[in-house]
Amino acid sequence: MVTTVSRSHATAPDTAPRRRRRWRNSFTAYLLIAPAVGYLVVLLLFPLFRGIQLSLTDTKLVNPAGGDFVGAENYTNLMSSGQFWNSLLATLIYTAATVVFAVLLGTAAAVFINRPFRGRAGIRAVMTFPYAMPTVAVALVYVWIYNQSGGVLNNSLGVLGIGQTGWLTDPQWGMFSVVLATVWKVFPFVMLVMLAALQSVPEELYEAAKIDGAGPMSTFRAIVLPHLAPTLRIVALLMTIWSIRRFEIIYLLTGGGPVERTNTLVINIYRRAFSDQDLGVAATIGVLGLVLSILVTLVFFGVERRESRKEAAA
Amino acid sequence: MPRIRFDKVHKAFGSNTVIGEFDAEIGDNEFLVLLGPSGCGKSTMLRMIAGLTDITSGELTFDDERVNDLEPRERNIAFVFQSYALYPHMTVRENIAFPLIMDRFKGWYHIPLVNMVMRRRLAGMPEVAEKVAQVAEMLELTDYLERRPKALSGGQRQRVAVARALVREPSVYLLDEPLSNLDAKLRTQMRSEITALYQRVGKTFVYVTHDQVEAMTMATRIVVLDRGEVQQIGTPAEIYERPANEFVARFIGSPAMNLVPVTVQDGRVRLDENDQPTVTTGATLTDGTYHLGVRPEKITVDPSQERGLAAQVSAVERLGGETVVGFRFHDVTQDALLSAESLRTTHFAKAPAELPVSVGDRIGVEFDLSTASWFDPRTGDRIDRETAVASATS
Amino acid sequence: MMARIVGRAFSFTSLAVLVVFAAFPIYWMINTALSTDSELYRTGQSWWPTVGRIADIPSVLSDVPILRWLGNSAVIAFGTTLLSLALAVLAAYALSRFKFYGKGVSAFFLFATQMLPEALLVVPLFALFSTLGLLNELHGLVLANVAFTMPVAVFILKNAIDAIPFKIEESARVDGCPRWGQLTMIVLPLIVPSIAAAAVINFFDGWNEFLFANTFIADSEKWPASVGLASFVGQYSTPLSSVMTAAFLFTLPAIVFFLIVQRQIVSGLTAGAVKG
Repeated sequence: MVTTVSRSHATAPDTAPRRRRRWRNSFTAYLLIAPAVGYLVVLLLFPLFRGIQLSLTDTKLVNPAGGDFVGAENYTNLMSSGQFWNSLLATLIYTAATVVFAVLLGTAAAVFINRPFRGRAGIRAVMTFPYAMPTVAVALVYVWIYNQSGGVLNNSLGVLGIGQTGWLTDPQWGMFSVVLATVWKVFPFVMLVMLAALQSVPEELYEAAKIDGAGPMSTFRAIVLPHLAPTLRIVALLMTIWSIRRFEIIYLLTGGGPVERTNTLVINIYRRAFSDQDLGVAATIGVLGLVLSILVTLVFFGVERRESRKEAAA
Repeated sequence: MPRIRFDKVHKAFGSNTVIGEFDAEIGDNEFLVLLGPSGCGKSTMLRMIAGLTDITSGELTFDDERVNDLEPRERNIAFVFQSYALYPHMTVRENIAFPLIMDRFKGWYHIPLVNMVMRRRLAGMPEVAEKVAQVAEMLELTDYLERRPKALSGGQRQRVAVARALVREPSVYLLDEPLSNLDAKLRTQMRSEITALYQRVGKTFVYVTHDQVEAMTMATRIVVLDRGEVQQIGTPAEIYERPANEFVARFIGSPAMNLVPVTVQDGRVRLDENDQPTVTTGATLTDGTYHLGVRPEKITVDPSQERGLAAQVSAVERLGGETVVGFRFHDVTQDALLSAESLRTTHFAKAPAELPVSVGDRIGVEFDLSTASWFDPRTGDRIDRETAVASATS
Repeated sequence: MMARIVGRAFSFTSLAVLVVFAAFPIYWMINTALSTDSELYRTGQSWWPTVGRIADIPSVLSDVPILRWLGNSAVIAFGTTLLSLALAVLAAYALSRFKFYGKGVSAFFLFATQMLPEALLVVPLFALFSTLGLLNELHGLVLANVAFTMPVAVFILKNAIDAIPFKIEESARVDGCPRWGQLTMIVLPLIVPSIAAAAVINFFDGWNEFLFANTFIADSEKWPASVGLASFVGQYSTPLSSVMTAAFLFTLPAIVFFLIVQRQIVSGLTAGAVKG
């Protein structure tokens, strides 16, 4: 038996079979991921670049393959059009309102439902129905609830002596009505995620707070909220991105009206493309909307990094 | 049954060396234990034999055939994982049969749905079913064949893992800390079961553990590893009696070997820790400082202080069958007892159970120098008396 | 003591308000479906449904071709789920178990799709599909849906695979099971609950999808229920009770399936969100 303990570690020569094996390993990985990535390249990335390309042309719907290169003309036109800025403003209002109310309502619901009580499972199930309901069905119901003459909202308010409001037709109320329906649809998502986060708060923390004599409000602020903060940030990000993207419910309730009050960027794209048949301008708005999403995400990751650095320092 | 040879086997993850350069040979029918603290590279070594981890450089041969680039199944080995790694969705029977079914699997059987049909058919083959029944019988698992791993106790899971290894009749068994998830009593029982299994199947076993008791009781040969470097290879007796360096000396044995700083002058030994009458070494050592290594059972404690060096008792652990006496050559004070320094200068002796000593007593201690080891205090390496003589005469 | 009673009363009231808020529109859909036309358009809708109207449901099917539309929706949803999961299982396995150059980029690419507004892509996709002759085809719609549903499934499945101890696959490898077998015989059976969750999520993305269907499918015979029902928004020539009954039939499977796999959906969504 030979025993030599050498302390010299020559750098490993990359032997041919080893290289072959490593290559085979990577090759398997590429083989596995190629269908998914290839699929997305063809159906997302390629259309995305096509969209950016379209935004530099004056392509019309009647002839999608044609259209002349017009440079940044679509962009400069949009920048100087009040309609575009109005649309951006509608997007910001819609996004801010939905995110704030959905997160508040969802978190509150999660807190109320977190403690055990009889029938909790049933109540939780009922509260998640809106999230499971198809958007088109939501729109149908809300259009009827909001209906000016036979809708239950006006009927009930009429009993209280409040006048008949055109919830979806009055420019003052259009955005409110759309946000309300949206919040109703999405708050259960926030609730479910926050509920999961709440249940991961270690029981000892509550007990420690109790021993320290903290009341329910101060316990929530000092113990629960810091624990929820990372989840809250992610939920807020998802809600924001989804709100910027959201199409169906706005399109079905108001179609961007009344008087373009709910004409968000996404609705604007669709109307420009399929009503005005102006694909070039529609694509331009789309590119600007995407830039907005990316900016939001970057801000989020900036905040996230600062927070995690803070936590690491603490 | 192959002879496993390591030829300058080296493993690095990136620039991080895990195994230095390892040369060794594992003979037929050996029970080789890879022993070391966690992170010493012992599991990596085992995984390299199995083919689960690539070898960065050097050569691993089974009977002079290079196996570096062979898949695990081409090496005819079995592997028992620390976590057992049973298939949670299969019954015990299916778990044990799995290696046999895989041996008989053809490429086209892997087509989805076909694989389910073929697995069932292969499991029903008499040669497979009989082999599974036979192994289950041997490991007393027959009553649990239709259970899933979740419904088994730790010891039963352990047996299923062994059964799964056994069923293919491999020529090498590789076991990665297979007992560390069991409680102390079960561990002792499984230890003897594995030893019995080794004697019964008569194949090569390579066994990884950080537990020196397992190593001492089961191994035919032990490799002691630390930080990716081999510290010593030898039989349990060799490693216990003649540790190659201070690391091995401290790692093996409970309590560990005492390492006492001494100075040798003119064939006489003097303690560095306080001035005591000197004794002859009984061996030829060049003048200089040494660490004297003495096993606790090679120290005689004399409560009457008539013989040996004067010391003071700092700890007494009565284990029933014997008593471990901790003593210091410095004075024992309450403050000093808690310091790290005092731990380093406390030595331990094994004494008869009924020895009448208590903490604070002054005692005499006598070292059996004929079995003692001598270490170079700078390198920590063992100094054999023969070498000492040789260097003294040259 | 007093404070505790007030606190209890406060949370009970809040909870009651929330439940009414969440449940009322659904109740109202059912109530409307079970109301007579004269109630709806003249005398005013009652707060309580007319239970006897349940008997009239079959006549709804002649007012609204809902069964055909639901059939189209089901075809789209099944197609979307199958294609999406087939792609996602392989990609998730690669992302979870392999190291390869470009892994980070691939993962980022998958996440980035969550930011793309469908409305931006609908224009170039419309152009692409018109050249490929995929407009007005249900399978064309499946292709478009999968681009958005598959990344979600990848997240859910990757997290599920990450949670399986790698040693189990290594054990299979020692037992002579090749890579593909490790995926099909070890990994997939162990992540069945997550596959079910991903399947349900994808199924209802396909079931509910409106934008692409509304843009790409012109033929009302091929409409899915989402587009078919949307055609009744703000249109009153079809009895509202029939429309609401159809909407209810469209909603029912979504809610039932959602309840069945709610737990997995939540953990899938949270995991996907946190790992994003």
